[in-house]
Amino acid sequence: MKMSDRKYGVMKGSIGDAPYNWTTGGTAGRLLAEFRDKRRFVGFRCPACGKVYVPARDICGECYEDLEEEPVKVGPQGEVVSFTIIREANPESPAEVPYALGVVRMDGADTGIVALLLADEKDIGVGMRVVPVWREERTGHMSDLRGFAPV
Amino acid sequence: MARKVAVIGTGQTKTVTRRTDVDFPGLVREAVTAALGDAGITMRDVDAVIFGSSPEYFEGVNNPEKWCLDASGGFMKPQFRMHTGGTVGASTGIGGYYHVASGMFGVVLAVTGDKLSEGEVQYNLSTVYDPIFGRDMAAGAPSAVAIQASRYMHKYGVTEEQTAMVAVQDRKNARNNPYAQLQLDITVEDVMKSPPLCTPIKLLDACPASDGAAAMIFACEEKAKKLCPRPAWVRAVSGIAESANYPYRDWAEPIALIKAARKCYAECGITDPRKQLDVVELYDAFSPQMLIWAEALGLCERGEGGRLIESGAASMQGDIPINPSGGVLSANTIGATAMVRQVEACLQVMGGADQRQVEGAEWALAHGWGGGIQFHTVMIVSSEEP
Repeated sequence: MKMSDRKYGVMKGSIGDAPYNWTTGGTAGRLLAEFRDKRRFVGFRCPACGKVYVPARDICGECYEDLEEEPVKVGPQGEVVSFTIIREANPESPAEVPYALGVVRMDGADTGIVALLLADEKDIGVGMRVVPVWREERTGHMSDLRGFAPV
Repeated sequence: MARKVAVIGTGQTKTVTRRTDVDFPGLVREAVTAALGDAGITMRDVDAVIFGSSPEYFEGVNNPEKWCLDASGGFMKPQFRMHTGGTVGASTGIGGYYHVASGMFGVVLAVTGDKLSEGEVQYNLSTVYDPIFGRDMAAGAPSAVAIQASRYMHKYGVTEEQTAMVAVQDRKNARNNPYAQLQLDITVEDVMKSPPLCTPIKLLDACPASDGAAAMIFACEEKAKKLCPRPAWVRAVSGIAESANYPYRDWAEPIALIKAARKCYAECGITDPRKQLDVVELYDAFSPQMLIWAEALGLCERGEGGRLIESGAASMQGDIPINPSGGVLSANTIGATAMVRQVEACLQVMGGADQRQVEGAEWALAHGWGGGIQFHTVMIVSSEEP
């Protein structure tokens, strides 16, 4: 039986002290490579319904179709769909409390991504226009994205 | 064609923050023993066992159906393990129903539980997020529900005072339930002044973490009629899942629950759930969720959840009492939580809910929620035989 000859990226991580090597899958691997190399988001289209996924995990669950391999342009701006201000720290919190977590839909995308909102609490609201903020050192990891800041 | 199925016995443990007198299998055994006693049968009468618990990380023992085999009564019997995140308790009950409805088994024991005090709950909950895109931002369960709640409240103009009423009502009802953990006498002001966790959720809007277990005995028509004078007949079940990220997803609209409810209503001829249901048990781990789920179930119009709780309609004296047990805000083992909703619904139509009994309840609905915010289950039971 022939297996796919596509080579996917691997993201290292851990749960407690146990190390893991998570295979990213094609569309996620490509998106993380775009983070690292071009500091931008890309989307992936479902050939059946035409909807654009950001982030994407290879398939459109609704149509049960593989997403197109060639990415489509999205952004560079996006919009906050919902958010919360985290005031109580959790184990492994992504930032010092208080911090804001939001769902952002990039322009041209039909799905949202959860990320930090880098803004004054009083300015944050549903519908806020934002742009991604990137780290200087990028490794092809979700954390290459520091978060989203107001336009 | 599915056979008729009834619940002929239920059991649950008192939920507490931490039990040190029993281990996890010990909790499971307590619930099983109570359910067998309630049904008036012994383990010899049980044809098959379904065991359910939530992510193994909670107790730190993988493959827990092995650890809990003896306690669950699975020795030398067909035994399945069920796991569907927060809905696992309900899925285990639905599994019990399927086993009997299929004609494969006559009497089936379904048992669920978790001993959350053994581990680090919020840390472990963060491991359910997508490892590539979700894990770095994971902050336990409250943050995901906070995003859901803030979307819902923004969209429909529901206020924090209205969601606080849910927190007050559930804890008040819990005072009638000997199995509940948080039996509090609190006010809306207490909720509003409680420490903020993640906006709009405050400490008193959140469920506790509990140790506990629950069990149910499902029986075919023949056995049910022989063993139980007033069984709870299972009229419809459904478990539906959305995906974590899909186009046009609106966190305020639980499409999986809407679909599950419609399917169940159609199957048992419910056209006006507010009127035809006598009592509802919802999986409200955080107070805004009671309103979101009540709307999705058609107990009021979309966006009217705030007014539903404000009007008193969902109280014990109202026309559609929600969570006489005190709901998930008053006890949350995760593993058994969605089954407790089914157990409580059954107790209501069996007339066995004691101080929390809704008088004359004949039709009850139990809801389960889990898997991020995507999984939903519905079970409808009645005292009336189908």
